[in-house]
Amino acid sequence: MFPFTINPEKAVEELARFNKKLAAGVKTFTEMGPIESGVSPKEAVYREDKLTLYHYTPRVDSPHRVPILVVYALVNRPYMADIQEDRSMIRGLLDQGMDVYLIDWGYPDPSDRYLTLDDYINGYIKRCADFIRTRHDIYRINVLGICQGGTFSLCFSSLHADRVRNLVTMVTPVDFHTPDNLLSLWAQGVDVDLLVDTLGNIPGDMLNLTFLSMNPFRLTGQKYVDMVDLLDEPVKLKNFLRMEKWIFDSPDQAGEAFRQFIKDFFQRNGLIKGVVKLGERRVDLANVTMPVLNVYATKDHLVPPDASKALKKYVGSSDYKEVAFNGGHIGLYVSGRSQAEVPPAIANWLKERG
Amino acid sequence: MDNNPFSTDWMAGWSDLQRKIWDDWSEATQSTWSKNLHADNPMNFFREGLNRWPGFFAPSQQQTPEAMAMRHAMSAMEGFMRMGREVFNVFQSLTPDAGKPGHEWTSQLDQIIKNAKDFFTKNSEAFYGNLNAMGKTGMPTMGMPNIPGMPNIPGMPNLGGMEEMSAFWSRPMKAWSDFLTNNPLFSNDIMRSMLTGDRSMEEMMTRFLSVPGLGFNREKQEKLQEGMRLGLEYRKALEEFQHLTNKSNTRALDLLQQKLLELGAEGKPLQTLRDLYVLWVDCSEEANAEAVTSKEFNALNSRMMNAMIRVRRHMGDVIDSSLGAMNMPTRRELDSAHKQISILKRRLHAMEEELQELRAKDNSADINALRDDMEKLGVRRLREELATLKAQLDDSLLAAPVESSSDKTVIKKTVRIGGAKPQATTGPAQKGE
Repeated sequence: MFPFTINPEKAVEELARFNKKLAAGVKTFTEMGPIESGVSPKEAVYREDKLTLYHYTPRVDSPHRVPILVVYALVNRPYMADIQEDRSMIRGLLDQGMDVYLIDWGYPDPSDRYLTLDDYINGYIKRCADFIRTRHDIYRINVLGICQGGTFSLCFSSLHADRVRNLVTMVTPVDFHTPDNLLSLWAQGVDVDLLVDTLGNIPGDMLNLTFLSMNPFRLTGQKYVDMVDLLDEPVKLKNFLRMEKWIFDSPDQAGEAFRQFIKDFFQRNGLIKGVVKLGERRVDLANVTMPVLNVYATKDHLVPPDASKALKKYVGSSDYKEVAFNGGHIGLYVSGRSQAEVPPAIANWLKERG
Repeated sequence: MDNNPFSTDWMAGWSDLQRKIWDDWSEATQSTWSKNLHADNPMNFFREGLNRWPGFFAPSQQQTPEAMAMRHAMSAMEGFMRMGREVFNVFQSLTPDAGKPGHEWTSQLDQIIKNAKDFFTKNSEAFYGNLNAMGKTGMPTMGMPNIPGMPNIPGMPNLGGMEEMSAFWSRPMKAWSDFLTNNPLFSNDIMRSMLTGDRSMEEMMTRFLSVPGLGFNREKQEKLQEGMRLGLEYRKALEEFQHLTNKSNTRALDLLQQKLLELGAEGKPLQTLRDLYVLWVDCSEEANAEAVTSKEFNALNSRMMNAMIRVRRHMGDVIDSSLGAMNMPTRRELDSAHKQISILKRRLHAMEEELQELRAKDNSADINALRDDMEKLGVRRLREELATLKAQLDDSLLAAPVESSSDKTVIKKTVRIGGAKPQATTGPAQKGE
């Protein structure tokens, strides 16, 4: 059978309908107003260089006594975790009675080129943790690391176990050499010394291009053709644009930190080999002895599940649990199902451990 | 309309105007079909209309999410529309009974796919053509065989085929091209020339590189030659990468043909252009996924990336040398200053932490421990014995006669030891009191 029922006349009609929809959409665009994101009320409680530590206003009268410090990745902006009211992991945690802090790394500029991973982990994260400990007059806090922020959280917990009561990692790469890790495969041949010595900070656009290259036809083509279907639905269109804003809101990467992350983690797979050194100290996952909850996404194309699940083998904790979310890397934060599943799972696990 | 340049009203008014024009265009397109105007190819309306769309956002090159999304949408739309136009042409080229039962349509599909694959396999300039085609109204001639029924378009060469599709195929490389042109780190004539496929420039560079540097400016000549050599390496790496991309594109066409045959066999024909577009995207992604996981891709991608960065580093060195010669701050100087600041900040943080630890430290435990040690040593008993001895010494001193000097009277004091009361005496000053 001929595989088309399309004929020239139908093709013209379809394109004409498409055009008309697109034309009508321009009006929707101009009436859209500003695209806001990061919706939950919060207060800046500590600042240092480009970093801001936010404290979210609790949504219950008596929040859980141990606050959570959320450590996001350096890539992209942390408002993904609070992108809109009905798609907010932060809000979900607040609704579950958690007391939530979040590190916003800001936008590094050329003066931050020499920031190292030691500065980020033993410096910024440690000082934020100490600020919260002092503020709450508490010895240890809970830490929740997301993606690269999860890797940082593991390093921090290994080196400062006395400050971490419970550790939650979300879509966190641990074994960087699993066969299905496309980003890692691409990173092997990059002359990162040449790159950083030449460019200083690594442009966010360059990282965006790398991410888009994983699904180029879908992410630079089909997605926008599909967007036309949303043009007469302002709410859905605004949600689309909010995601779009986040995707292309990519801070530059501090050069030295990027160099070390690519070499030690992606190229040498140093986290599981125990050869990553921050300052004068070696990161050993066996020192992560506090309870660990590892949340991964089964369809994650950026951090494959096996890359996250490797943590079980190397972590020193005897209280280790995994939560598998049936979805992708982004869906873990923003999908409707994740709102119902993930924050309650995290909060309940933390409450069980006091 | 508000004439205030800071008002947004003008934008809304202008946008309304543009929208009205487009509405008229869209309606005209449909009526054209019914009136049989442009009956040779009604898609010409869409082609011309496509060129109008970018104007919607032309006055504001702002980077708001709305404007960016709409620009991306325009670009993606272009791919979809061009595909639609091409499919239209293909259907026109088919024999009238192609869709009828029993007709051997698969041979025609074979030919269509073959023509499309030739676009990538027979034309080594496809990549540069694609990049040149982006954002231009004219398309380069690709030497494609003509498809019967393909009409001539005013102002366009009769390409007869896949050029319309190039907007779709070239999307990954367009993203790369956009990155280079929009990023100030890379945006300059040399980098752009690497993407233009200007062979005359390449030949000129090759000739220039064969001339040895001479005389007073020898060093500068060598630097220039080094830059050109690096540029040629980058171009070569880029070409090799594009050849791999072309292979992936032909693979996608194989997949598309295979899936169309399957749909035909299953009796599930595609109903809309959109269905075809989605199938095409699926096939392209499948082929891309196969390509990007290969060792060959990794090697070529890295080589292209590293070659590009070497060009950029050379340019930076040249710029720095020029700035230094003009006694202006250079990147190296700024980097050096930033490095020093980072080191100082680390030291400052270390000192602050140390100070904080010292302040917070509770010394009472240490003091108590010292007291315990002293107790163990019998310090109290020794003190008592010492006091007794001193008291005895005082008593013996008091029993001694008062001394006088010729020029002054000195009050002799006794040191209070072991609870003995001090007693004032007169006499000469004694050393050691």
